[in-house]
Amino acid sequence: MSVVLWAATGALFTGAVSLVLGLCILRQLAIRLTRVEQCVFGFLIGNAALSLVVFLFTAAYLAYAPVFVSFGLLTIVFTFIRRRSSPKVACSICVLPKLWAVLLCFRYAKLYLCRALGPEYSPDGTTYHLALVARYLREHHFPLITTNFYASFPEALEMLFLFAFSIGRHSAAASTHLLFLFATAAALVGFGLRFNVAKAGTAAAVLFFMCPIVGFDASVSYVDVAEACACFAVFYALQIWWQDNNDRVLVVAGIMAGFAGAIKYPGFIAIPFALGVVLWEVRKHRGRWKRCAPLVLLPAIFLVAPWLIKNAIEVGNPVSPFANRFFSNPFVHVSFEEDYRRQLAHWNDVTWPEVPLEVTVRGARLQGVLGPLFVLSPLALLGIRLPICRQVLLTGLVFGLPYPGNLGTRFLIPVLPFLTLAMSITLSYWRSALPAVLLFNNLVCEPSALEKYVSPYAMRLERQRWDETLRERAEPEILATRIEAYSMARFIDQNLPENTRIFDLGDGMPAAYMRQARDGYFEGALNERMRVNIWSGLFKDYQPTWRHTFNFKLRRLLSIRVRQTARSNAIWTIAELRLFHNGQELIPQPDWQLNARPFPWDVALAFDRNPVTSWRAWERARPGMFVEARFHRPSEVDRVSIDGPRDQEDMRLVVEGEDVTGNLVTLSSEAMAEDIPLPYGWKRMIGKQLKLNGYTHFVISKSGGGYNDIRDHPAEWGMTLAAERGNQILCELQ
Amino acid sequence: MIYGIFGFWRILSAFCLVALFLRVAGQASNQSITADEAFNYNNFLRSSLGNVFTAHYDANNHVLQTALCWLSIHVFGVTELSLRIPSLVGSILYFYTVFQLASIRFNRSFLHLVATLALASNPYLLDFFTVARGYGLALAFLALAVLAAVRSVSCDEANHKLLFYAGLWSALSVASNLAFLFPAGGLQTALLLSLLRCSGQQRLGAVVLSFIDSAGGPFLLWSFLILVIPLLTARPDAFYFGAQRWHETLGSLVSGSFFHNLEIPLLSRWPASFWHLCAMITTTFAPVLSGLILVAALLLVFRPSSSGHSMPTLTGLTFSVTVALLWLAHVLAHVKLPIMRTGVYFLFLFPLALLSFLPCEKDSPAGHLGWAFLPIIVFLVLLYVPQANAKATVDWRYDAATKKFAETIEMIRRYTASPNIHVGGSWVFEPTLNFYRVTNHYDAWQPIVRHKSTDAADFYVLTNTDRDVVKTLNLRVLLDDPVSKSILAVPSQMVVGRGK
Repeated sequence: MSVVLWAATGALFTGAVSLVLGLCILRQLAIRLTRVEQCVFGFLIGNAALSLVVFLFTAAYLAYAPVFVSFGLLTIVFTFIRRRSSPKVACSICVLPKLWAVLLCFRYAKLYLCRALGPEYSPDGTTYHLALVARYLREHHFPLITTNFYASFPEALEMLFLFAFSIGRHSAAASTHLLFLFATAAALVGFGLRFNVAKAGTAAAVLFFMCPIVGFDASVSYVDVAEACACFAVFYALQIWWQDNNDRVLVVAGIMAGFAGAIKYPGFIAIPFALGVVLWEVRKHRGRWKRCAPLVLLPAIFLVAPWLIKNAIEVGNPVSPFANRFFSNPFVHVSFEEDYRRQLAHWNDVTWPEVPLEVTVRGARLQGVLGPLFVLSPLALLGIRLPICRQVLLTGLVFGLPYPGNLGTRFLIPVLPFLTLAMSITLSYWRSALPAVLLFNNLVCEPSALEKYVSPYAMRLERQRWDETLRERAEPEILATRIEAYSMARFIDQNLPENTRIFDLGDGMPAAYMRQARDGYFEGALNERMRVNIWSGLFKDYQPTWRHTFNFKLRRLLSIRVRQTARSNAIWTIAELRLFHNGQELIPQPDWQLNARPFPWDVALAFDRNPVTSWRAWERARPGMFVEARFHRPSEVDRVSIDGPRDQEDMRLVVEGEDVTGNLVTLSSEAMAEDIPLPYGWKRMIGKQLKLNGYTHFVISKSGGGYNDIRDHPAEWGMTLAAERGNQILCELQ
Repeated sequence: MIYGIFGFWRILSAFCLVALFLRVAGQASNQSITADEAFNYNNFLRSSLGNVFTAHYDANNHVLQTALCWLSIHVFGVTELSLRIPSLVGSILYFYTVFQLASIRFNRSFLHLVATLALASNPYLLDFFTVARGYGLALAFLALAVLAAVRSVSCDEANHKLLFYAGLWSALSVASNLAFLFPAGGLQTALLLSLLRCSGQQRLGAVVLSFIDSAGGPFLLWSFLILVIPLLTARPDAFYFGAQRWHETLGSLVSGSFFHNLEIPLLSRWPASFWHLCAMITTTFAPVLSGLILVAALLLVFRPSSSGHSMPTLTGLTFSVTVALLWLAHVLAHVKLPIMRTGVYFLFLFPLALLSFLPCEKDSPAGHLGWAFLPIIVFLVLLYVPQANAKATVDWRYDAATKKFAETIEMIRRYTASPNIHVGGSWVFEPTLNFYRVTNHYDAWQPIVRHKSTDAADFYVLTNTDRDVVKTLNLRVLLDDPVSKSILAVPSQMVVGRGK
């Protein structure tokens, strides 16, 4: 029970501090808002501010629970004192939403609360959202993380999670996210009241509130509902600005746009949107844009910049893990980014015609459903008769632009407030349609109904489990039944020292419940290289058993370059590149200048005389790629041999050299191919590589290739079996 | 005095409708359960109300009707009559609507009675008010929708309330039986066209938007809300029942209407002439009349607006658009054409369209056509009325004596004190016999399963087409029902009274 109380306290304290901070900022801006709007914008602006404060504390090595609590208490006290003397902002309209709407939402609110306060076992929440938060709190700052690209995502909401987590642990973070659901619903109600679509606003709030994917997302430590809330607040603030003609509201819009971008990359679109709207509106007032544009742009940049700067410093790419072609860096491969984007854009091979039914009623392949009512979403278009609805639809369209990049149902959440509002406006013109629709949604969106028609694999809430929420059983026991890898994570947490570093070739682990560092096999460049190493012990295609030898007339050269001229889906790989003079190998010298394009950072691995390590281009093969060795003194070379795996059949290589006069000459384009054996103790060499790269342990799950081989013969890999839990094994590297 | 207020013919029409209701109610309470009703009960009504909506979709589940049946049997207990209460309510609604439509078109004239009988006394149509299937209720809602639509287009200005009811009733019609999607869609289209015709100076977009807000939108929304969850599990093969050619559609409706029990004076004495007449109607008269309805409706659509023409325009268009929608769905989406009960709405729309042209202006082409339709209407009435003494439905005639068979089997079982009996025979009796086994607590019966009719059993319930089994297995016939032509038989070596 105390866990629940602490969790609730953590979330409520975070919400309260945010609200107080936000109201304080709103008072400084002296904007005329309704009471509902004051609460909504106060809460959201405060969240943005608190998030920034927590970021600064963490960056300054001050991420301690007492620091956060002290700051929160001081903020509340300070604001309370100042409030007495500050002038009251006028409140124009305030009507409570109708009772029936509250009644319809009540059981859903109970359901969400039950889940949010319960043990946190959401996949992304335990794998990285809270795993990173827990690590920041443990280390009291932002550690340099280059082997987990999730750490490069904007983390404005995670900063709020950190604040709440420091008080009430995991469930406090999830409950903090839930506050944004209430805020979004309130924002929709407030919007309806202000713009004379009160019924539609209230109905939209209820529809949004009951939407299955929204309910699920808001009840766990994800970030999508917060992003949706911020996006809608941008639109809302811009509408108020347009209606009241008060430029100070633009600051609110800017803060919201920045907050949206700082929560999640797709939220970045809020910034150009806000700027675009402002510039469009002031186009007829010469020079006004000079005053308005900074008002919206500066707060947005102020909120987003910390995350971009952090990434630029840590991983050399402000928008990591994306745009790696523009911001070349050794931490995320271009090939990974392309695969990742392709996977997100084609979840489970879903085609566009399948998307409408998948996101509304099926849910297995796109991870969750919006609910059957959204099959009728085209009806929203009928609302174009009203100017306000046209703007709502257009804005929804803008916030839907990133959706093709990730077809998951969750990624439609930022569009939902707009969609529900537009649908509700249309339905409000139809006699008795709104109550019918809300009642229908109330019946078909609850967990017991969803069980009947939604795929069991869809992300959705189960029925209320107050026994779990109240921890009638021990939390570890509950988590062990909920998370497949939890028992292994708990074993690691309890039995291994904190400086353990684990390479995870499994399906992911709930790192939020471990003190030890864990690197997933796809989460960074080094991780991918380690994965390829391990696979070379399991799959022939990855083994460097193919040698290409280029013989040519003895030449005295300043440098030698191997150029790839073909276009292929394969990734050009060189395990070893050797140079010969009259049959004698030229041993690579430390003063040789090695270079490669692309991915020059690993080029030394092609010359290290260790066949386990290899240089890979980490991009699909294309003409112009090369590997080069520049000698300190001119050297005579008459043969080049290249060892690599057998998947290089499509490559076309040309050996070129720079002669002593500085001319680049083609030495050979004809290679002799031959098979070569693997060195003895190959698997042990792989294990050694893992160890050399700083890993102490290795986890693999049944679903990963090689599970049986490693479990049955760990010694061959230079490991010892440390534990077997569920479908995973843990090995210690020798 | 009463004659003065209501008119003689209207009072007579009302009496006829009351008599028809009593006939329908009587048949509904006495008639044995039918296979489709029993199937529905066994599969959808024995668990929670939610199951009606979430069970795997079957075309037999007429969702709204099934839900109302669920409520009815949970209030009144499980009997044949309680299952059929929603259909009986549907019959009241339908008769009321018919009376109102006849009153709108014919006021107090003699034609009021003719119209009432033409629309309400078709014996095949009445069948569906006596069984717990969605056809009757759907027809009643469709008729209400037509009534609301007729009233709304008759007004000088668009009456949004009536338009809403036209949409709502259409939606409930579709929710009661999915086969009514086509006539309901046809009605909505016809309503839109009629509104556009009467729009005057209003902009096209405004009229369309007004129609969507008042009728089209609610129609779509309510149909969606009731049917979306059940239809989520629907597969194309669930809609297997239908015809490939229009000839089959017409033939099934004509024979169902005229051959209900072949007791029509004169014609029944010359069956060959009767069949020739049926064939002529199927192949020639009905298609020609349908074409004429379309022509007349189009003539009215393109004439200057007149409130007197709103009903023939609307009904003529509804009929024509329904046919067109069916044809398009058949050609483009390979949806089967309606056959027998799935086309029952034509038994309402077709005579209604014919009737609505009768009082058109005498000098107009549509008016001339209208008077040409009168003999046909009178002829229909003359064919319908003598068949009012129906003892069974056409579609489930084989089930007319199933209740009697079940009671007889149980009586014999008790008499012989058999602890366990196996009832077999024709597979079509599986749902009905299971229904009586469950509802009458015939616990000594093994659950009835679909076997070959020749498989070994203690009792055989056989259809007319399976009579050969009696010879094949050397059975002893206990009951031979003259209406259903079904028989109850037992193995010849069975000794009645052995247990005692």
